[in-house]
Amino acid sequence: MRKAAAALLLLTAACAGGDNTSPALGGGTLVIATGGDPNSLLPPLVGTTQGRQVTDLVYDRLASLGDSLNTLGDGGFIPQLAQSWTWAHDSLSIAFHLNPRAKWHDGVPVTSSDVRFTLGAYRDSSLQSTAAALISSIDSVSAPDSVTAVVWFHSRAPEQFYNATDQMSIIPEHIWKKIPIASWRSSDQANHPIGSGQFRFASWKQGESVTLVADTGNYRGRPKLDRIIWSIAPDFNAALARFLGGETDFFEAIRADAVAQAQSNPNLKLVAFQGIDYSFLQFNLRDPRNPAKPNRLFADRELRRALTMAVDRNSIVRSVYDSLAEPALAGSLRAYPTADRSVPPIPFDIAAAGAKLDSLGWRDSNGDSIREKNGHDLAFNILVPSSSKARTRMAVLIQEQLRRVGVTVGIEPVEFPVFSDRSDKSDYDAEINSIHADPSPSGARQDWATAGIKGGNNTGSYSNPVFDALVDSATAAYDPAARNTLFRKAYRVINDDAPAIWLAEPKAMVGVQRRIHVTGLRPDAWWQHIADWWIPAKERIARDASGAVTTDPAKKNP
Amino acid sequence: MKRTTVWSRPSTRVAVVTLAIFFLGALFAPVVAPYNPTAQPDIVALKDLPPSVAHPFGTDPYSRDVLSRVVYGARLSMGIGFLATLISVTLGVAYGAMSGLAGGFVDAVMMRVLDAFMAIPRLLLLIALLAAWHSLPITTLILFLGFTGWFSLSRIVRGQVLALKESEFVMAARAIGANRGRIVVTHLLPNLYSVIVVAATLGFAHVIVLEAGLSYLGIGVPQPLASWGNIIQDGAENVSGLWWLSLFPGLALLAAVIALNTLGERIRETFQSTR
Amino acid sequence: MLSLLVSRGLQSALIVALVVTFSFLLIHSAPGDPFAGALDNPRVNPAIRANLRAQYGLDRPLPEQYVKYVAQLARGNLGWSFSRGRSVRAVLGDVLPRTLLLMATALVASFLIGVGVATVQVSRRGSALDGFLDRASLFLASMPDFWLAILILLAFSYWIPFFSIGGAVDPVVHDMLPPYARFFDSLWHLILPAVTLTLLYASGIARFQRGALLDVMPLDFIRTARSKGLRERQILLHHAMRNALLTLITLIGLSFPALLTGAVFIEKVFAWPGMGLAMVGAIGARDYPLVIGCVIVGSVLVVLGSLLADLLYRWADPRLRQL
Repeated sequence: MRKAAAALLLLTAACAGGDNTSPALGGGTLVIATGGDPNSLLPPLVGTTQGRQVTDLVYDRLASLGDSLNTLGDGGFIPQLAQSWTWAHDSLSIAFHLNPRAKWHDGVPVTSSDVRFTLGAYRDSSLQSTAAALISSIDSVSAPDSVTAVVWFHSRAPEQFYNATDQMSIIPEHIWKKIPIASWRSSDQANHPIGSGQFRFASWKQGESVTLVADTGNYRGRPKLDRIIWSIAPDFNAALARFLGGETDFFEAIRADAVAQAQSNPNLKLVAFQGIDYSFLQFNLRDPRNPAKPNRLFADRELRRALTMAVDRNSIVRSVYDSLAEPALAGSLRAYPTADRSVPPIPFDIAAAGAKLDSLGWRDSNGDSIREKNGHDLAFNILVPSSSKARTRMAVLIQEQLRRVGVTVGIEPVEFPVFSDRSDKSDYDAEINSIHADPSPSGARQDWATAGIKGGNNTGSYSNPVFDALVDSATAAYDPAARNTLFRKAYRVINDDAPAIWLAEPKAMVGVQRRIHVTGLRPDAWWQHIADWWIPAKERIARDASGAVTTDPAKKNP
Repeated sequence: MKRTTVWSRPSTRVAVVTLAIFFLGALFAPVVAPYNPTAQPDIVALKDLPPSVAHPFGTDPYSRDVLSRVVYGARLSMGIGFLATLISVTLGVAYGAMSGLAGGFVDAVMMRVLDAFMAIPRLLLLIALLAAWHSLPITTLILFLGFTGWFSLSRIVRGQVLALKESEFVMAARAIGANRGRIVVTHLLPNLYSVIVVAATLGFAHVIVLEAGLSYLGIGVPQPLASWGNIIQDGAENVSGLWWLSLFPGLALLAAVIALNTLGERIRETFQSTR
Repeated sequence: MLSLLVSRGLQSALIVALVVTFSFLLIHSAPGDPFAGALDNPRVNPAIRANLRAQYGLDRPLPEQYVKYVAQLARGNLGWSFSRGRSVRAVLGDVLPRTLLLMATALVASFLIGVGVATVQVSRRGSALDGFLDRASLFLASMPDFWLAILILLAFSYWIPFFSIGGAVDPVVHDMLPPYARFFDSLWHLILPAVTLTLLYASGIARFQRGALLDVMPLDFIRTARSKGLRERQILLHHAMRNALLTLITLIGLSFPALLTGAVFIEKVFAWPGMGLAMVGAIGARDYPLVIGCVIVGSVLVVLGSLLADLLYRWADPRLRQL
């Protein structure tokens, strides 16, 4: 099997520039079981994995991150809309040479003016793209001719290429300039994306499915699948039953308790790969009602440390994930070259936690088993997304463990959109959050540094100038060794400050029907190489044939 | 004398014994339950255990003993059901009696308002009320359940009051100058007794099922408290693997509801045959 | 008949108006911000906040908001569903037909089964079969809706994986199938939820119908018929049934609340994408406009159901036809 896949990869490479519509290769439908609708199908507004999966396949970037996840310089990057690029001598600009054959799905050619338009859109404050902060190092884009886009930077930086390419999906100017940017969010166009990717958008039935079909005339080659369908089933039981019964082909997040069921099914295979997610109980260091004021509880570093000591993270991770996760590291991932496993986590020690709470003045003086200080109980709510059973379960486990040291915890389960909305607005005291981390360790700047409080993911408003300075220096360092040293110092600082209780770093485990041949699951985005997945003609089933793409509607445009 | 027949039916006796067991179990939950219902003794080794001698109903994903949770669940579910029914019956009788006694325009307005409330299915009404709360105190849940359960009873009470109002003994009472409140308390209420008892018994059963359903949907009783509905919810993500989490609390719920419904029906039959 | 129709219609309209008013008050007395805090959050762009305000008239005095709200409703505008990014009307347009399909299937099936069972019971009054069916129907009538659905899901999705679970059709192949196969695909998805709802509801109908039949059996005309020498079964079928059916018509109209309630849980358990599932999803999403939209539509269904029953009843009962 591996040999076949390797041969296929060679073939793909060979065909990448040429016509790749051989009937022997193209064909078949991939049905992906997913838990919910995308929040949006407009790249600057996409906030959920579902939305990211669809838009990554419908839209292209200038270039995409390679499987090694290298973010320094341009090493390993795979050309997409830009077939090549030229660095200026001072590295303050990069000229991207667009593929002249690249066309939008409505037949209009992709031009450098689209690139300039896209940057403007991502930056526009009325669109409120969360990615705006990620491209702040870009000054402007100029378009000397229709196939050359020059990206100008404020200053040179190790990851400037990554920022200019991977953070933005290019959107068509001729479509979007007709609509005032303030109403993009609610426009119908946002739900009917027109991109330049290897798959074109076919339909989105709310709560049911999203369908993409192969863009047979695509400049990057025809995908080997005809069709991709995300079948939406918020109910895990129903979704699992449908996958086990063969109604869906790809199950994104097999949970620990379902692994045995999937393993015993001869039609399925499980593929594990290194994911880049990690979860944590995040404390809000600011008052959720008034961000100018410190949080009544969690502004106190020692209280955060005491609560961390009371939580048995190892048991929680094993209880919820069995062997499919490890306890998370402070503010980083094991997959990063900068990761430091030698940072000693704050130890689990109930007695020490109790003593520390006592010394902070939180004592149970009225005998109700709840600690008080100045007449206020030591009590708070944890916000969790009800769609994530793992996080809900961790919340209930933490609730009981904190009860043992006299802390009252309430659990507030809400649907995912509400969770992310309230999280973005810092409208919580504590939340169990999970970050689909940036492929680069510099993502820490968005997630945990002061710079990430406005517009980034640092919704808990953790702010320590020492941490900020270390991360900034590390991000600016060109020498890998120096970069590692600086990041590791930063990890120690954030570990000791305990802005969060670090919970789990799960391994990603996907389930696939055997007939689907899967290649290259990129750790941060398994869907990245879907155009290379294939289904051998003799193993195809009825639904593979039902979606066969034979004609290319765009071909009528010369 | 015929009233004794209600006890002579074996089904009544089974129902009463079942209910007695549930009430006693609920009352003495700390004695009956083998473990603390919210304790998580070992979240790795003791979670998701199927039924065994040590844990006859198995354990849940948090290593809590399901039997203990079902016992404490009886306490909470039946307690909530009882208090909510009390509220419903009080409101239903008060509203129906007022409307019936007032008569005329007031009666017509009160009945139209009642029509509007009855037009909203109770579950939908509850969902609309509960959806507005981020985390729900139990007392609020009880109040909402009580406030949404009195509509049909008040209509029956009104009908009875209208009929009784024209009856000879109320006419007589009024003739000798008794005031309205007095008439209600001394004459109407005793005559409404049968209607109220039947409605309360059946309403009690209904409210228990509703609370379980709301807890199952995740908008009823919050963690870590145990109610029959949220124990089922704890197992709902893996129904086939953790079948004991759906089965045992469901059986308890079913037994309580059947017992209450049987009792309600038998009481109704008895009252009907005495009339 | 016409004046009756008018007065009944007016009465129904009044009830709907009261429901609408009530739901408006509900939105505005909600302790949680129905607009998820978007209005007073400093991080939300002022332009978006102003837009929301203008759209919902939230900065106007309450009576003015009410007038605006009613005017919008009258135009069929039920508001904007935040969680789905579409108008509430569009969402309901998708989900309501599926709920109605589920309810209609269950109603017809449970009507046939319920009446059949009750007739058998009455014709064998006091027999062991009667007793058994009585206990069985009480058992089913006492069954909590969501628990029965879970048991059926467990049995038919894990132990006997025969039917399709989740969704109303197979989202992948449905559109590509020939018409007859499409029908079977729909049927395959409909069976389990519909059977569950039927089991719950048929038991109620059977119990009611049995009582109604026993009530009319001692009536004079049946005694007359019996004295004419008609056989018991004929009496039952011809005379008793006709009278009992009248009551049944009423019951069908009044059954909408129970069917809707059952549908909410059954849709949740079987992931049937109808109004109940939309509503359950909307609770967690704090999508208040969608919740209220479902409540209003549910209430209108109930009102229409009772109106329909009322008219049918009068049409079916000759004694009332002249009124």
